[in-house]
Amino acid sequence: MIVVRILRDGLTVREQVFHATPVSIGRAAGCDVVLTDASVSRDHAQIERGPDGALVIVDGAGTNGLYAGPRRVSAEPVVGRLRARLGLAEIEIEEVSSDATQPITLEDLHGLDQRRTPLTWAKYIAVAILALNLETVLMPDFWSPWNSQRFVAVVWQSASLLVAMLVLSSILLGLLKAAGRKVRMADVLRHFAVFAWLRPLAAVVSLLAYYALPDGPASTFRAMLPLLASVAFFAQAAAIRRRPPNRAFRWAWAMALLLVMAGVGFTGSYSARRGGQPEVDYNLQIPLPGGTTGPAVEFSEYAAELEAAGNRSADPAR
Amino acid sequence: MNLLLVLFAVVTPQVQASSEAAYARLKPSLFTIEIHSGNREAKSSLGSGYLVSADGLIATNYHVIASYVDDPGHNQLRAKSARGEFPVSLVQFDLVNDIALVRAEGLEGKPLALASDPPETGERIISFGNPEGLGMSLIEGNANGFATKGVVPRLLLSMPLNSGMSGGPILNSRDQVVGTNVSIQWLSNSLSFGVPTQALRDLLARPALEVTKAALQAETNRQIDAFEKETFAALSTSLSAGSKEPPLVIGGARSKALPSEFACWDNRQEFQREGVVKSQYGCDLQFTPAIERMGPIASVQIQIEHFSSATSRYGFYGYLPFHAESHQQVSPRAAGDPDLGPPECASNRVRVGGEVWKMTSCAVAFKTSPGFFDLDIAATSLSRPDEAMFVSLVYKGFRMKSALDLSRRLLENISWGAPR
Repeated sequence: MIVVRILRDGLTVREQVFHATPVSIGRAAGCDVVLTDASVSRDHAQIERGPDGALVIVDGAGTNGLYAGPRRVSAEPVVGRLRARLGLAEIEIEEVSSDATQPITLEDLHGLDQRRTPLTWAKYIAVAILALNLETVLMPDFWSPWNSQRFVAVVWQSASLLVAMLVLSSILLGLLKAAGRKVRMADVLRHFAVFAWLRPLAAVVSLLAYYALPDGPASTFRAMLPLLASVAFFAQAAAIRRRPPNRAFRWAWAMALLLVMAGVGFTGSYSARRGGQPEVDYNLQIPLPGGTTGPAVEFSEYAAELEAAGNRSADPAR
Repeated sequence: MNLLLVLFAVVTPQVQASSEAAYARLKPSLFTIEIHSGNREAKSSLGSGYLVSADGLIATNYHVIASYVDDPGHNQLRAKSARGEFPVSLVQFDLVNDIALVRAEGLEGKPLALASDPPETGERIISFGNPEGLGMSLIEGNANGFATKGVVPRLLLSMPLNSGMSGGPILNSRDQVVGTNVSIQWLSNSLSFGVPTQALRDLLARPALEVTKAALQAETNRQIDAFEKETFAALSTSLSAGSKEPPLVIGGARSKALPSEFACWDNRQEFQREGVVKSQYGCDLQFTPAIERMGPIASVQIQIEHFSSATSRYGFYGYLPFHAESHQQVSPRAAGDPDLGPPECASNRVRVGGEVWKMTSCAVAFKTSPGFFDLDIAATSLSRPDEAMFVSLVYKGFRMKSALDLSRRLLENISWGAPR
């Protein structure tokens, strides 16, 4: 079966199904697919089957030509979905099989457009803000006796997050649309609402790591987790409303982001070292019931670390 | 009141008469010492000095001529007096006692005599110097024996010395030098210090130094090396002796007595609204020497604190990292600095003396004095949820091994006041 969809602003407004070729497309009333736009020739193009059986759209040599993407073409094979432009009219051609019915997956369901109201937006924004405030509240310094303005801090943070989320969502929405995705604001906000929970999760995991790991590795882990959460956030964001399979696509994004972040991190720490900024980790946590403070070293071991630090400072090459 | 007036009437003219005479007698032996780093008219450093030999040896403070010792190639020494201006050369210095000898070529004159004994407690003394370069001045006061703190001996003087009088002589009523002006106590009223004459006698016995940048750097390193060893040995011995004394109580923390060389202050702060009680005990070593560009040598500051929280325990622990950070004294220093290396740090959870501490430390190496460091150690106790001990140890111009040894012993001496 050959499906021809007539698009307006990227959305399907009419769909016609054909069982045989050729299929003629033009402004003339006798065409199989009639396009009413004045920029379309009376007999603009024709869908044919080539000698090898492959489907191809052929330009009828009219005034405004046939375009596949940005290229003007005289003929273009139909592989998967082909979007073509005839004058100013846009169509999509696809050959669909009449094989056995495909079972639907959960992901396919998410792809269905749902009815979204401003209430949906508000719900997603509220869930994301809740997650990020939860992260703040999990941090011990939030409960410091010197932090006497906790309620004000949370309100202020929520207001800032609201603005930031709307701005970032708009940017992300723009980028995804530019990449040709059929994406709505609600999709992007939903993504925020889901992935914001990685932050409190990272806070809890790094707190547990403090008690389980020695100080150095726990500190590295603590620094790495928010980074990994950001990578997951953006890799997943890149795949919003993309047709599956997306696993390789997401991994490619994650790896690229990791590389970029590692580069930024390396540059930052290199310039901090050149500038002679002391790099100190002051993090410490309350003992667990029973007085557990996590793994500790003997003073002699720490003294050796400090001597090594002294030798690095004394290194004439620096 | 009448009696007082009578006393003034009787005493004052006599003092005035003797002061005027002393000024006239001694002025030919007094000098202003200046360092010029290019301009003949403007000086970059100013102090005072006095003649100690008939052939032109002048005594002054090390800190007056420290920039010359640091870089003799780009600085000139000059001595000025009522008799004129003389180019002078460096002969010897003692950076620990803060004295130096310079020689004015072609100068002959009557040297001041050195007293054989330190001044009696309460003895009337006079001092000369050129405050702020405004004019040679005479100041009267009293000697009060030796300061009882610190590793370096200092005369304790009640007289208002001022900047620029450094290196001037302190004389008894027989015109004998009992000491050299050296410093004042900031924020105090007329408390000043002098270097005992014995240090000057020792310096006079030493052969003249070769005046090249390399030779003076080597001599500086030799002196700080010897002084650091002396300080470490003194503190080490006192620390052992302190174990027999009654312990210190700092809020809910205890420490065995600290070395008696330290000057200490006790303080207790309650933060009513926040429900935190903070007790502080802070000590430092007085009169530690300093060298040009690096700062203090063999200086130690100890701060022991105890906190207890009546409110949130979890939040109390949220405050402690910020508190430790606020005690960090090491400042950023770009790589490639000719004097000091970049700060290099280490942090870990460390078990010392029955307590687990979160320790954060940074070391800064002295580049021209290999083996010497500024070292900052901050330790916060980790074993109790509603109280904490904090120890800050700040070493300046110390060898790593001695600083670490002192730190371990000081931390081992600290414990909770009450068992849990």
